[in-house]
Amino acid sequence: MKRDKKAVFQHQLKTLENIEEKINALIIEHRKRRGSDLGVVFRTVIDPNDATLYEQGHHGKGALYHGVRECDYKISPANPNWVLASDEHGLSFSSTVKHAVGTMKFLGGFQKKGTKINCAYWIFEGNQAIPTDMAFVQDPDNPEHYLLTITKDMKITDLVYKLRWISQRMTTMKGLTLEAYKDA
Amino acid sequence: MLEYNENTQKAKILAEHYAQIVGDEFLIAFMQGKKSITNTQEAQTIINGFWQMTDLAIADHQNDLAIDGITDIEFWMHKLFNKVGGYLIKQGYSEQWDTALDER
Repeated sequence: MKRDKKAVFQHQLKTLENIEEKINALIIEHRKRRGSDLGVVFRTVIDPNDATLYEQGHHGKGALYHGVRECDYKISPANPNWVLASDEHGLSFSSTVKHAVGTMKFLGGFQKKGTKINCAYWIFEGNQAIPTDMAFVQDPDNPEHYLLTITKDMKITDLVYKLRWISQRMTTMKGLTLEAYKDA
Repeated sequence: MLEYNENTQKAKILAEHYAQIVGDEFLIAFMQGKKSITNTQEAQTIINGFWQMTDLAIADHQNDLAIDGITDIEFWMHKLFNKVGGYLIKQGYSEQWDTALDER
């Protein structure tokens, strides 16, 4: 049953260690200058999805509301036009490149052959703080994993607006793109 | 030990399901949140078992299967990935976890 997957992505990632070292140095420097624990976050983005919003048919197996997966946020059971505040629900982000690359490899295994798996990053700069009523919450299970939560109930259209605002400020690292090597 | 709450019960269901297919008693107990890792050998057993479980989950995902009514296998295995990986990092086995990831 076990499949030999040792060769997965190995050619695509052979220069990764050097890139990772350089990025980690930049992250540490940025966090030091900003006096922040976070400052920059990474997110796995699977084509053709947006950095924070999903396309129908490319979001997994659950329901999708205006690009928001039902599994990511706590959709109100009484009214799916509303999203409920929860510190255990939110989009998944990595605080380190190592965790980001591990996540790309993990999720990449579930994708169809030829699917591009990208890594996007978001640097908090100047006035570009996190939108109101949103917060990054560290996963109590994993210190390198964060959830972008909402701290106040809101209409799903408001959440979509905020997620789109964030997406417009995120950049995809083309050099780190992986490609699923076989059908999954 | 791994901890689950009401919001992560689906991750626990998948963890138990796939651990039982792999068949290792320690892996099953660990995934159920009943046993902790106490040494390097146990850590390696869990790491190897987790990736076997992941391969099984990928196959079920490919075949559009539902496990105990859970259809979004990718999402809940991703939760488990963070839970298991985070546990190993916090317990001091990050090098073994990273090595296994590098081999994927």
